[in-house]
Amino acid sequence: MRIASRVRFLVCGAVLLALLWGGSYLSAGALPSALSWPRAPSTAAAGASPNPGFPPTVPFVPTRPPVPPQPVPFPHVAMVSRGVPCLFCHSGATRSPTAGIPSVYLCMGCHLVIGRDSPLIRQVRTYWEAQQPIPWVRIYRLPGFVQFSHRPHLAAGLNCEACHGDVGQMEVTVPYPAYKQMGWCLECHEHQPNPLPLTECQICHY
Amino acid sequence: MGRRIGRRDLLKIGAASAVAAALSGCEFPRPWVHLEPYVRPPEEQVAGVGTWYASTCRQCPAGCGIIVRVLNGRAVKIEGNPQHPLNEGKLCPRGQAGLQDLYNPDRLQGPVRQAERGSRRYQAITWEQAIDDLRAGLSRAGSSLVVWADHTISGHLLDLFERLTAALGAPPPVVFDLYTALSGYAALSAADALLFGQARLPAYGMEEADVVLSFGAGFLSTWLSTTHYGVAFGSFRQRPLDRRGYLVQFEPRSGLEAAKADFWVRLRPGSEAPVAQAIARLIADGGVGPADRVSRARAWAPAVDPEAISSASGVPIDDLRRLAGTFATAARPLAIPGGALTGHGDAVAQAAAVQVLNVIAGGAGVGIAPGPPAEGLVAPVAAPYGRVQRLVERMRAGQVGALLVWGAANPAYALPPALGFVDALKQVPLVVSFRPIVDETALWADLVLPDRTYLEAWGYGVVEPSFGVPVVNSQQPVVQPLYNTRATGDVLLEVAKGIPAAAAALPWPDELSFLRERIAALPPGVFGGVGEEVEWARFLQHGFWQPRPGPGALQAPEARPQPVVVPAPSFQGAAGDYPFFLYIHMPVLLSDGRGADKPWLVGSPDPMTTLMWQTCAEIETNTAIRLGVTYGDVVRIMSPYGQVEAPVYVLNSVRPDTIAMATGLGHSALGRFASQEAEGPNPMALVGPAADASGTSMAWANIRVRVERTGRRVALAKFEDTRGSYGGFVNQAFADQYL
Amino acid sequence: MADATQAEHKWTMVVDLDKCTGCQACVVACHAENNVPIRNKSEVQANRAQHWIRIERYWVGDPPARARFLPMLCQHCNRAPCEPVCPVYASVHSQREHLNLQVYNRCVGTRYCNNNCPYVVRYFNFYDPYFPAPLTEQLNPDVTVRTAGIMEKCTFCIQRINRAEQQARSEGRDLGPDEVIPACVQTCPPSALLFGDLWNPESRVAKALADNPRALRVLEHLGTEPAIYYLKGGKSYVRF
Repeated sequence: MRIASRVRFLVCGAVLLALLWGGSYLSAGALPSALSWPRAPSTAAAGASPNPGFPPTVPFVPTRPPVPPQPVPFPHVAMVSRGVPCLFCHSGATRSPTAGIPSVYLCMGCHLVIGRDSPLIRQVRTYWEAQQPIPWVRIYRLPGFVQFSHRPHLAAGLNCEACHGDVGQMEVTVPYPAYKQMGWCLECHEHQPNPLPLTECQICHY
Repeated sequence: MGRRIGRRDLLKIGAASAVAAALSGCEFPRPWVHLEPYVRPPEEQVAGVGTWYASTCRQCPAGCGIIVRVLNGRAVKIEGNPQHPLNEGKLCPRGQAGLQDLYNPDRLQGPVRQAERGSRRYQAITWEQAIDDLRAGLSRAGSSLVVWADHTISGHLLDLFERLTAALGAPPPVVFDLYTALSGYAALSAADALLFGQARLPAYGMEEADVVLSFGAGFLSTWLSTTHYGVAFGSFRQRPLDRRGYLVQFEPRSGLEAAKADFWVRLRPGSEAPVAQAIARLIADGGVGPADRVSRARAWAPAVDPEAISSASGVPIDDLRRLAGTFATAARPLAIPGGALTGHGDAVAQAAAVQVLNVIAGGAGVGIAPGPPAEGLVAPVAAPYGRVQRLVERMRAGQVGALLVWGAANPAYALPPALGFVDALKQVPLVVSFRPIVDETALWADLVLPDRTYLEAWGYGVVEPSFGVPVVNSQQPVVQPLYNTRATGDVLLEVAKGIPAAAAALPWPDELSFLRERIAALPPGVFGGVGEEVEWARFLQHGFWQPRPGPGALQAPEARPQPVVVPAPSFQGAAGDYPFFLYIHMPVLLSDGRGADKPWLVGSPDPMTTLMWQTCAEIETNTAIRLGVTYGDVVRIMSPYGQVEAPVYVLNSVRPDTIAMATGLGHSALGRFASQEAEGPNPMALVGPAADASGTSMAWANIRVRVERTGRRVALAKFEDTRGSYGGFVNQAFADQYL
Repeated sequence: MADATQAEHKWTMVVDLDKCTGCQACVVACHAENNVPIRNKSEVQANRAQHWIRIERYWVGDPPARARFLPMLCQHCNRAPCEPVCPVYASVHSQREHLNLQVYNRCVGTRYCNNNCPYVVRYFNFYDPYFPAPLTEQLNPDVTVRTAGIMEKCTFCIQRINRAEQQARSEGRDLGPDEVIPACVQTCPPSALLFGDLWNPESRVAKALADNPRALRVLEHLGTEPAIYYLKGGKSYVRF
């Protein structure tokens, strides 16, 4: 019995360790060494100029379920290629922790006139006429125990693309692969000239 | 949704009703959720950043100014309005818990009809049906209509009720609730009428006082304004040690005030006013203090024997002499009449006896509230208890055709059962409750037409008592109304349209236009603005109006010298059969029972007993030993009028001959938290139907009881035992030395 | 713009024991601000109530004893006994804010921290929170909602500290002396609670503590070096 219980203990321990350390590393590609934060490639950290950490490195791509289709298949490229800045719709980014999703009212501000009969805009108009909010699928959703604020990042001069990727080229909005990994935030912060040290846990976790 | 309650799951806001959960777990795999922004956002709101709206707290009649943080259409935090002269940015625990009135899970979501009274089967009806039913009932009742409101009613709504009753030839609304009854509002106003000629509540400038004799006043827990007197108490103690305010509390059981007092006089129940008179007599006889005070004392002090009062009350005569000397020689002394002394004897004389001490002192620091500062503004005035008694008699005699009950008055719970209110209801053909939640009175109602909670409603409040400068509070909805409720003012206006007698008296299209018309009558205030639109905007923005910056200095008007005769204390129940005095008090969280539906109030520890979800019978240590009971034993407390069962809490700081009980629990309705989770006695069941000698007050403070063991035990939900060092060796040493 | 790495604040609270009336306004305000669940009666009877700030009521003196109130909350000890014992570093110290932190996502629920805390101010979520709809509407989105298995305690309203600091940082200025107010301090009617940066000589706490003979700390002999100073009750010098 003692041998059986010891074997059971070892098996449980091994499974536990595998889950803890290996789980997030299961992906296409080699398993990097465990217990280390993702590091930037050595070329980027050569020190020739203060590396802002752009473009942020993507050490691994976690598997995520695909984004379900949006109620209105909104193509960012259609707006951005016509010169509409991110802050026009996501105006909270400079003032608030959350950038915000534009209200139907904001969409109709232009689209009552512009392109009012195109198929996509007709869908938006249906929501406006019914006075119903559009039930977007939320792309960027940090876990409940993370408190992130857009405002200081924009005040520091960050571009939206730094974290959200080149949304202006997207037909279908998908999340930037490396987001939602704390190591990615840590890495970018490390490379700033005046970084807020994210090793202070209370900055995001409270 | 499972059990994870992620606040970030739902960032959606609907333009209409706010609570539709659009998260359909079945068609959507986690971790994806919906995100619904506004259809059309209010201009001033930024997503993720709260907008603060000013309004008025309606948790008690004081009327503190509040600001509410609204995030994405949800009210998430209430704070005191920093500009408001009454509470100066601070707020008592009841005010903080206001969000749980708004978001209470047991709120009614629309008008309902109860076919059989007391059955608890409510059938949802439409507002059209509800208004038709109400209109029909009011037309039938005509001049036999009775409106019963509580003291937190908005001025404009009380105004509408008054106009309605006047138009129908019915008597004006009765404003009566347990909070104002146990705080002695009617008696305090009547005492001011007797002495100063103005029937209004007194205000006491405690922040400037150096000696305060508080005769049972619960000014830190309930009474006239918990928050204001809390702020004033802070100033009272703020001054350097040699001028730190000196507080004396006279009460048979230590509440918060006795705990903070420098000297606690544990006197016999019923002897507060005689002791005040004895002190006045000692000032007159002893000649201590400035000459003008002594001469006033000689003019006013009654012909009483301090020695006799000393032995009757249990206060040593030396203490009385010393207190008389302290009071007379203080620079700014104050004497404060509490609620308990208005609960027996001759309430008006008793309150006046304490006010006489202020007259002797010179009247500085005592203010008599001036009343509404403009024509057309209405402030509720607490009805004398005699009026309530006559009303119940009329009900019993079938002379009341319809009874409309608004707010937290809850007479079926608040009134002593011995008065027979619930029985008398059987003779009233139509009973309507406007409370947003079903309370004990709504259990016996035919129609419940839920009003909006105060965070969703318009209104104004004349702050009474105000402290030296008139203040009118504004009240505005800070969120969209949650459910299919209607403002009672709108309901009345709609109903009145179909009653010929009332239609002319209530011609306004909706309550908001009526409200704005009333407020337009205010003269320009301290926030400026030209034109009605701007003044209205400033009124809402700042949360109140006042004519000039305040608070102002308080000085009592000249008093007419007259004898104030306090009868000797007498009690209901023979001493042989009922050996103990019953001391009923209102705890700070639950107050008169209206706090019991809010988990933050009923589930937070009571400051003296640390009990949560429970109230108890507080028995002194040696008495408990003699009775053979200890913590958690359930005892039956019996008075000449009724009995209740309560668990015992052994409290050293109550008189051995007194059983203390807190109001607040004993609910059979008012939602799951009050009626199912919480358990405790309703001490009003022990009170008799009598009024005091003047007819202004319930005779609730002179009940005698006896105690019997039931043999059962309950586990007390105390907080003090859970934290190891709490009350243990180490922190007790700290307490002994430093507290 | 101020150098972020150098900006440190010595957050300190001052509790004036003479003024605390025991009204529980701070207790309720803390529940409202920090999404602290109210435990039901059976949970409370099992000694599992959660109130991040509590008003301890002691009986002092000969019978009839007088009640005295001691507001007790996490002392944010500079040498916190709860920190070295956490196996997963959920209880850590902030060098910038000089606070004791509780990182919810790391906590695995050993409860060693509360075991070690001499003030017994940490509270474990033995149960999931019960917020029946629509009470969920009231929850503060700036604060994580904890589920069962997580330890929690007073954070000095770190969300308010962070918000004020973000505001100041975004506007390129330093924090004002009394710009940060936790919920309990904001609501306390007699202003028995004061809060601020002890290293800022303009702040109320610095002024309240300067040469104050009444200032002391609870259980100081244990060497925890708490960040909360109590001003002991005053005795009146009037006549008697």
